[in-house]
Amino acid sequence: MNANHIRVDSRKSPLGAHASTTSRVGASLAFDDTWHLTAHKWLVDEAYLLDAQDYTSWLKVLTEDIHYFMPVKVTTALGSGYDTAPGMAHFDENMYSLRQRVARFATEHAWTEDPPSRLRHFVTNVRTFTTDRDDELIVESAVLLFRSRGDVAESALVSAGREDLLRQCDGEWKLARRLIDADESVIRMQNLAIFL
Amino acid sequence: MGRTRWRHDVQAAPGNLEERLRYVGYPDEMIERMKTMWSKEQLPLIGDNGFMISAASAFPNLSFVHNWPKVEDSEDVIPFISIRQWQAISEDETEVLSWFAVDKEAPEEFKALSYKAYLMCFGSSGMFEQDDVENWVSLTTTAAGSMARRLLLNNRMGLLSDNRPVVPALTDNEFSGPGVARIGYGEYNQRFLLADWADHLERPAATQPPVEVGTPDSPRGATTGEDDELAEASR
Repeated sequence: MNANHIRVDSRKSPLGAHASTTSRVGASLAFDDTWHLTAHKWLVDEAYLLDAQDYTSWLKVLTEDIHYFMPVKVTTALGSGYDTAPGMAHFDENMYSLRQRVARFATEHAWTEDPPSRLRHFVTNVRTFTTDRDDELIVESAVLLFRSRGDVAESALVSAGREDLLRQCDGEWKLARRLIDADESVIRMQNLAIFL
Repeated sequence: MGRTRWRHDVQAAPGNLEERLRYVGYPDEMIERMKTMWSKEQLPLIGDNGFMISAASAFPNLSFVHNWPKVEDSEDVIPFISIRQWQAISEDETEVLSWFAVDKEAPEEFKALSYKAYLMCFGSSGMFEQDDVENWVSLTTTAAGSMARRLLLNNRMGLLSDNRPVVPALTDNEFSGPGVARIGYGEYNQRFLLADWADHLERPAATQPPVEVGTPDSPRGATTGEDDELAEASR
């Protein structure tokens, strides 16, 4: 295991105080484990919502205390102890800011996605972990988003790792925390008018 | 060093200095600090003239944004400052370096919420930034189009057909800041900026004197002869 890998942490964000602090327990679950299958299915179902830009439905699978955090990656020397910018992120969201973003997409003036991008989230490398709470799971995944728009502009890819906290709410699994570890320091896209 | 050209978009607000700063979301402890730190020209710009800086640019490629959105389910607004540099990479590519800036002495809660306000509006995911960039990209494509090649740019907003400005410049009583200011829609700033740029392109490049750092002749550090003259003049 890469001893230099530094996990993205809500506590490093000035806006992360409300975030759940649940962490994983033990090794990843077997691929035929019921919890793993449930978590994997959840991610695939969510990917279809995001591909379709069905953000109204997507908001419904987030908990009210959601923290959606994608810090800016910075290039540092080996052993420096950090690889994200202290105090700057691409996304550092709670439910209010995510609702505002979705509400804007739903207006008639969100020109940057009219015509809309064609999106496909490729979700893979899924690993599930139990936590010290019966109603919460942690699931890691890799996501590669393919995005193209119009007929002339170059298409773009963004790759990231995600660590998600899923929580059971009234019989339904919801996303309580997503920590996104981008694989580029400078994101090679015109904007992030999408969600990973 | 030459002249610096500013572009202001300013918005009036009702009340006195404290009320106007409170209106855009500054807490009283920050307002008290502003009253002691700002110059005697800066304070009346807000307090008496009734302007609140919202967007500005410094020639050639530095801009500032100051907006005050809501950041939670409440009526409160929080101001943020963004500094951005438009770095040309090629004839049709620009890299934008965008900073969020906040007073180091501000309360921690203010800093966090001001940062939140910045993230919602500007930066890679910013809601305003997304549409702004879409505009810049579209403009660039349009500028290379057949109509653009056939027509001259009409950059005359604020000018009458005999080239007199539509509105007079504000007096010193109406505007305590430096330079020339007008109220209303106009492309005065754009004309100044483009004229400055044309001048720089047409003039031969100025030869820069060598910079001395920490020598017996320049013990204070990096200076040129020009900087010393400017420092003297502004004292």
